[in-house]
Amino acid sequence: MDIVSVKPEREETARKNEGQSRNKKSVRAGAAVPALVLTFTMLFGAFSVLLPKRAFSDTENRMLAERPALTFSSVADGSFILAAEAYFTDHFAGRDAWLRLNGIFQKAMGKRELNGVYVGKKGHLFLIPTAPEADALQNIADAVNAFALKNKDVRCCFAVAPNANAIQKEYLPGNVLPPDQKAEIDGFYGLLKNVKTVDLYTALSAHKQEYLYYLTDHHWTSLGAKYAFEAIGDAIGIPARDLSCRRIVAAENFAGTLASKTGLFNVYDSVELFVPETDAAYYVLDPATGEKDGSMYKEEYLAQKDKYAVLFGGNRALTVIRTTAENGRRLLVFKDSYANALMQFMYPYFSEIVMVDPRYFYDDLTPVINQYGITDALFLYNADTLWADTSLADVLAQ
Amino acid sequence: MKKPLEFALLRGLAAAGVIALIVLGFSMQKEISSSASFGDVLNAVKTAAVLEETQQGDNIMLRRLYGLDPTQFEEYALYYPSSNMGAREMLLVKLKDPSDRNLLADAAKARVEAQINVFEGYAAEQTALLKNHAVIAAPGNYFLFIVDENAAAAAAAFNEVL
Amino acid sequence: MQLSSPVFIFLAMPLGFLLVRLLPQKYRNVFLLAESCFLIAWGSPRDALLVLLGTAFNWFTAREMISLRSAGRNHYARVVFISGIAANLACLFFFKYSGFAVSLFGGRLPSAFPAAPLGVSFYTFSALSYLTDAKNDETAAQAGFLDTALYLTFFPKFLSGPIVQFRDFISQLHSHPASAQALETGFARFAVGLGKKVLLADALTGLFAAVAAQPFSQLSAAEAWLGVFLYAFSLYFDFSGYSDMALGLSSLCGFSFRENFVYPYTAESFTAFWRRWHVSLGAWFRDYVYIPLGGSRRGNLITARNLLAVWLLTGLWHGAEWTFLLWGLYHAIMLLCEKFIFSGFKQKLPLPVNRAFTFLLVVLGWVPFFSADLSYAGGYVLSLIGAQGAGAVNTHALFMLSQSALWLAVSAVGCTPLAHRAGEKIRSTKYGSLFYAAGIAFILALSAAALLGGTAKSFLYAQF
Repeated sequence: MDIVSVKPEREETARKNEGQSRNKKSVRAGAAVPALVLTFTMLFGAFSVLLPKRAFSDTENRMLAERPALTFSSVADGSFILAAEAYFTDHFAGRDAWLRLNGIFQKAMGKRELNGVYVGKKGHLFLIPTAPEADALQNIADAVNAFALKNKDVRCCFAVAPNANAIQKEYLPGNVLPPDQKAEIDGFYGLLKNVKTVDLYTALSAHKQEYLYYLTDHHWTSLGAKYAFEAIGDAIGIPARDLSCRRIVAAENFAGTLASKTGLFNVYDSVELFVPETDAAYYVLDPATGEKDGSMYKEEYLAQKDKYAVLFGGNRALTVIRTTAENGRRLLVFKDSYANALMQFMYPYFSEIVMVDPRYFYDDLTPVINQYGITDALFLYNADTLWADTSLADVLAQ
Repeated sequence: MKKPLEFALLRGLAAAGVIALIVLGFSMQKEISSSASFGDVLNAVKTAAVLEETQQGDNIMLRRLYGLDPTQFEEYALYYPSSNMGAREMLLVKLKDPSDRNLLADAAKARVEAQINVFEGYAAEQTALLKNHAVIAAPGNYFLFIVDENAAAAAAAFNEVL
Repeated sequence: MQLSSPVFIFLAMPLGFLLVRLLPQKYRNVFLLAESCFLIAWGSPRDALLVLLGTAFNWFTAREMISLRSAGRNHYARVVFISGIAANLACLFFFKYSGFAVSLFGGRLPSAFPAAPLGVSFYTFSALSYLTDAKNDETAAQAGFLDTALYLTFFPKFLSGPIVQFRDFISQLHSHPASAQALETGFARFAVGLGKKVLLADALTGLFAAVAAQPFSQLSAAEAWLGVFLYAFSLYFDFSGYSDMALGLSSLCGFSFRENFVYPYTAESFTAFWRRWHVSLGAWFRDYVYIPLGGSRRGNLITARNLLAVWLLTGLWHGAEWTFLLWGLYHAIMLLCEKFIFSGFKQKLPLPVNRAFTFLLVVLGWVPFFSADLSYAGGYVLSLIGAQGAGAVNTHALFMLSQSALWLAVSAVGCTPLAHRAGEKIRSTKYGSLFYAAGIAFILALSAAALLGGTAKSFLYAQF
């Protein structure tokens, strides 16, 4: 074993020779690199430390790190150091611009999987799908069946909405297999008894060339919700297809959760709202606080980053919509955030709609059913969220 | 030039220092079997923490939120969010068997993960609380899991009262 | 503190550099020592204490050894020397190999077992170099405590090397002005090293992780091969990038150390590979293990034994796992084959063929290196020949290939001297320096973006 570094010595001499002949003009020219590196690092270092800090990042849709407290114990166990580094990087000067640059660079170099998101064609972003687990699904189905059995006079209906990565699969990046959500959803429906099911997959596929899902967010658009509403209406006996709506474009620069995750802000979505042409009026009640709101549209969210939250201001454990429709039907909706878009169309057909989000709901269900005199129950979930859900079964057991 | 013996002594001192540091690290991790009463520990933690908008939980909630069997433990106190958009939570357990702490730690970590899944992308403040202010302390026969603005202070108070 | 952490790059590095330049000559080494200790303490205060105590121990050992020798008591001096070596090795063994040793007897370490201080392997090897050089070399023996401490803690090399030998360091310690040339090369090298690590290595690692996450039943041969190449490149750019940063920073402080990576994937044989890959480690093992064991001067059988010993130790140095031993053994066998069986044969083949063949075999050798255990390594090898039932190519393989194509192309060029030579040519033209500087700025900017784009971490703080 003779590790004699022949190569490097040769290179070192070559470099020395080069250096000597260039010394005259290189002293000046050679100052460019050190000057540049030093200026760059010092400028950004100084600005990152000195500039005022913000608490929330719109681009990333999260709270930024707080200034860590300097105590002896936090230094000794290393937590101060970790927190200090996180604080420095979170408030780095121009962080948003740097993240966008990184997104562009990664995409240009060919990356199509960024932080749990598929980077599709023509600006489409898709959440990487979750696969359903047989045990978890059986658990949910059992809970739903038990609920239907226990509440015999409530008409139950289950609707699973497919996701963009199944319906608009032509826009997935090349060589990515779309999830077979039709089979997954049908498989789940097969586990349900005494519950009506709605084939939203077929309903949405029929319109798949239309703007059914946001490009930069994992939600469906109000248009997607409308087609789903028509299919659900058929199932629960509502003349859904007779409804006509006024369409309003509420915002045109919506960049959703998927844009935040990838740092890709090259396309923007427009948020459309549907206002039914109906005589029925409504107000939204938050039972926890007693607050009433005359509209389900919270316009202040249009100025913020998460514009999908214009619908109801996001998710609450319990929300009640009281309408002037006098048909005596009262709907209980078990939901995730997809249903928020659906309520725009539902309210003219029910006297009252009670929305329960099981992820935040800790109370007992039976008192709620009795208190509001529920006549119909609708389970509305999107496939990805339902396959990973752990709260619905628990809440139904109450 | 110093004599070799002096150097030998200094060597010995340095080596002893190294060994002492290592042993110190070891002993700080040892299990503490505390005789503090549950009530005292609970009070210490509650005083240090904020825990606004929480309500006390019973066996059903313990099972539901953590998948834990209450009969496994000697005593416990659970505080979970009452306003349904809250994230502040506290679980204090007095263990019958100190080796249960791994079980509890896993359950607590799973709870944090699940809560982060629920809040991430929708509720930035709650997400930040869960990601940056969640503490697990399991020094022996007591176990503390807390998500709160003052979680670190509460954990410090917890360690002191034991 | 990691050299690639934003706090270091944007705060500690520029401030440290300015202070070193502004301080009068006689305070510079002290300042460098203070900075090095601060950076170690930043990572972990306990580590800083351990390092200081360890440095004191080693220095007193050397002092005792030298004063015994000058008093003529050579026998005791030798005893002290060996006890010093043993103490350092015992420490390394305790921190790094206890778990492995205990697992050999079917046991497991308690969870409260102290974590190994970062850089313990490099520190120990530096300490051993110090003691040995202090024994053999007069100049080295004269080194004061501060100089020795600076050698042992020197921040560019503390965490991940290169393993500079004490006599190389000490000879430069008192006359190390940084010339304008060294400044330019130093900063450029630092930036390029950062780019290699953060732009290339991290991206390649991410792609490799996606491949490694595939269960064997879905890992087609094409994807498995893609995986080994991704890993081979990522390891090279990560390691050599870090070395570039270390050597660049050392240049800025006025030190000039030996190259650690010299385009190893262009080597024409395993023997040549080890003259180019992690040169400082190879040199250390050669000088402090291979040659004392007799090297290649005591007949073929002894040479073979020595080679085997050195490469098994090299494998073990990388980690306390059977997989690293297997990797070391693989290289030992290849070297022995080259030395004793194929030497004549190889010389008859054209250079490009030798290079390609060596590259392929070296890349294959990384399979146990990245495997968590031997069974994973075995399973992966089976995937390479498509024997796991996933066939030659599948959709996921195509997806990974399409994502990796550009990265692989850039990596392939980056493994050869082409980019460096092109850079030098540009720099030596009339306005080339400005283009060169712009190129460096571009790399720095993209690196900053990549550093920040790494997902924001959260930590569940658990004390057990």
